[in-house]
Amino acid sequence: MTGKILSILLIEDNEDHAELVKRSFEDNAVANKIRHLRDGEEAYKFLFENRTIYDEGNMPNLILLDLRLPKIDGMEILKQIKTEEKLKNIPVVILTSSHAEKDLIAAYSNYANSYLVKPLDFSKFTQLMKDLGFYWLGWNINPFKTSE
Amino acid sequence: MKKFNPDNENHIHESKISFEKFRDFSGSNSLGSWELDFEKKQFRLDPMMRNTFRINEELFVYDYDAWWSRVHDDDKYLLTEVLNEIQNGKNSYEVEYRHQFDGENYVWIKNYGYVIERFPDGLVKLLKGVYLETTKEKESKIALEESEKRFRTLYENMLEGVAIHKLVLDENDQPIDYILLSVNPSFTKHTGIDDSEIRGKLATEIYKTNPPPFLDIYAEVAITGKPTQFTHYAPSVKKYFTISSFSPEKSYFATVFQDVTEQKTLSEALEKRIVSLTQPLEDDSEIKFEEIFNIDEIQKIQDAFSTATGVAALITDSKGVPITKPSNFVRLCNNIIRKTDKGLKNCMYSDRIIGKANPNGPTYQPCLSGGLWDGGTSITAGDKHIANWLVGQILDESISKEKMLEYADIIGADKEDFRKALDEIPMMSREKFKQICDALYLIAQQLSKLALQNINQARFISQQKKSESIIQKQVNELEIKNAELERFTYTVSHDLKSPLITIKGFIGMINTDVANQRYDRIGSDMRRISNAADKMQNLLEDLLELSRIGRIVHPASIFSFSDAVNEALELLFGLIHARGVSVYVEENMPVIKADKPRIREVIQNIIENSIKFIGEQPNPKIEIGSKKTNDNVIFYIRDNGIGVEEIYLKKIFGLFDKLNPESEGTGIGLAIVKRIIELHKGEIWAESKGINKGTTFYIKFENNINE
Repeated sequence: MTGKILSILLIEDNEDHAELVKRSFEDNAVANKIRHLRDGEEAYKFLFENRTIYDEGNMPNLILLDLRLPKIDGMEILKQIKTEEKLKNIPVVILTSSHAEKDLIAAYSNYANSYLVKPLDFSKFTQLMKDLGFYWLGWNINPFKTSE
Repeated sequence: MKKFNPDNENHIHESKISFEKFRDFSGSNSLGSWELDFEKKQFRLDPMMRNTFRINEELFVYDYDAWWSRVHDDDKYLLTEVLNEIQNGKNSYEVEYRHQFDGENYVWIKNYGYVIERFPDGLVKLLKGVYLETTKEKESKIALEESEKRFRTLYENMLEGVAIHKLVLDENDQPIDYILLSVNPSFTKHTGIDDSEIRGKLATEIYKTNPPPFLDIYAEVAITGKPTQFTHYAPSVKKYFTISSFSPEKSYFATVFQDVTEQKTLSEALEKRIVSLTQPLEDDSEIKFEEIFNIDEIQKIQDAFSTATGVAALITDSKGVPITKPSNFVRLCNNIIRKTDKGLKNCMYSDRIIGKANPNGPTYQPCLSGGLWDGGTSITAGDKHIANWLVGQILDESISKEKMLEYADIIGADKEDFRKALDEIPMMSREKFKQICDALYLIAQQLSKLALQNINQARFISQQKKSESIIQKQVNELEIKNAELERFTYTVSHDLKSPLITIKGFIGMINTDVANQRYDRIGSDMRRISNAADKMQNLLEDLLELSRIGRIVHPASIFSFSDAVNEALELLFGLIHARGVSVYVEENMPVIKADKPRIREVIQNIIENSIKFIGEQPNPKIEIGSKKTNDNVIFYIRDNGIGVEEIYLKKIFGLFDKLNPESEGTGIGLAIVKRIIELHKGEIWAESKGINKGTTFYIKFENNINE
């Protein structure tokens, strides 16, 4: 993972949780670019209205998505991403505190690539972020061309 | 030209190849070639056909007549025609007919023939061709035709109106209309819309409504394939229709409708009858004889009784007003006494007295009007007296005609006519009359029992109906409550976990930082932990508050909304002052009956919310006012703050739904407000013209104060 720009789009309304995710990534040198969007509407505008996302280097390699978001629901954002031809190949990992089965089923039905529940325990939380980063940005192979 | 020879292996081989080609082409399995030699009068068949047509005989060369005899009699004419055409110059033909190859069974064959050689005079010398067995296709085609015919007959003759349609979608695949493809004669009969007029026309065009009738329902059927049924009242023709709709294939749908007006009217009448019968017996409302019995049937019984016994008969209500038509009334009573005002009044009075409830037996006594012998018995339902059955209008030896004539003067009737009519009155011994009255009493007793049974039955049905609807209502309420509870636990578990993740996460961060001797961000991390703990405390307090709303109810009192507003403003004085908000309150707002502390809480919450989202407004302002109509009182709290985008106006009342993740507060405040208003059977909603255009909250109460 040397020299590659690995960018993550983090869609999370809880400022503290976003900070925890960012620090876990930074401490483990998982990604070198994290863009944080704070609610569903902001995410929607960035993904579907602001066309610069399609510019070279702006396309995220991974999207981390919380489900309970103000204004536009996370599930709705997921649906939109997975039905947009240009975005649907980006892995979307649901990162939520909900254990609810209906969320789990809905997420996979809408083609989420993975579903993770935020661990309460700090060491588990950082371990998860590390594994998550290495797996999706390292081991996993995507059909789309990542910017070198 | 090569001659066909059954023994020539080579030829067979060749023809086999061409058959196979043809077989591929035709998709059929049974094929064979033949030739018809008009010179030798022979019909020769390809030996291959032995297998295909299951021929046991060794023979492959028939004389012409033998071959012809095996053609099905019904097809001979057709074949003759074809052969004539050939003789007259046509060079090839195609015909389908039945032939008996094995001497037993007819098979359908398609015969393709062509002329090989002609005599000099032009007549055919040699004809060749191939056979293709089509029995299966033909049979299934016939079966299909028959079933089509059967279906067609049903379609044409059924009493239900049937129409077949195709759904029309717009460019976004949204259903907008439908095309009528076909309707049956019953449809035309009911609607006046003829099959020839509708073919391929749009429903909007035909029914002159847009959207066309039941588009939503039909679109669902045509798209999902799920059949449906509903009842519709057509006011223009005053008829009820049951409409069933199903989809024979995607985007097509058929509708079948049936006139159910008669059933509907009957069941409505029955319903009405049950309702009227089941009013409690104790209450003052009358139970009517007509509602318990079929009057036509009772009339028949009364007429038969009267004819059999030779006495006049009539059934009246408990006040003496006739319910049935009189049977066998004598002219004296019907045309003379009852035609005078005084006479009729006396007759009704007498009927009431003679028929009065007497459980022990019939009454008989001279009529209190004319003085003829009358008898009567009452009909009851339980302890209610519902009717009188009266008989009589006879004379016995004891009655003095002279004395009766005086009555003509009293009521003002023509004396001569009165006398004549008096002579027409039948005579009967008193003993005989008493026997008739006893029989009448027994019949009336039975009718009384029947009346009580009918009422009890109706009451039972109505009680059952009532309890069924109560149960259904409770089930529905329970389902709503359940769904509410599910949503509640879901959000609570989610939102209570969030601060915990923060707390544990940043404690972990601090530990790591301390271990790495990085102290720069410990302070800010501690603040995050502390804020998260505060947030959790607020959440728990608000949740407790929310759970109290339904449980702790203050008694409702009558107060002016202004009082509740003033109390709330006092509590919020500090906040209002700190933000420099001007508050304008309408004086003497209407009075409502409600839980005052809760209403105060609602006002407080909304004002707090307004101040929280007042934004950068240089002149922050809140207006509180009211509007009263006949049925409702509406209060409003209007601010000039940051406003809400229209799409989120409903979301703001949801539990934990915050539009701005950074705003303080738990997201429970407006959920509490909504819950309180709902418990008061009121309505609450917010309106806003958009960002920075301010927000207005409306609270509507039913006008529950009688002033």
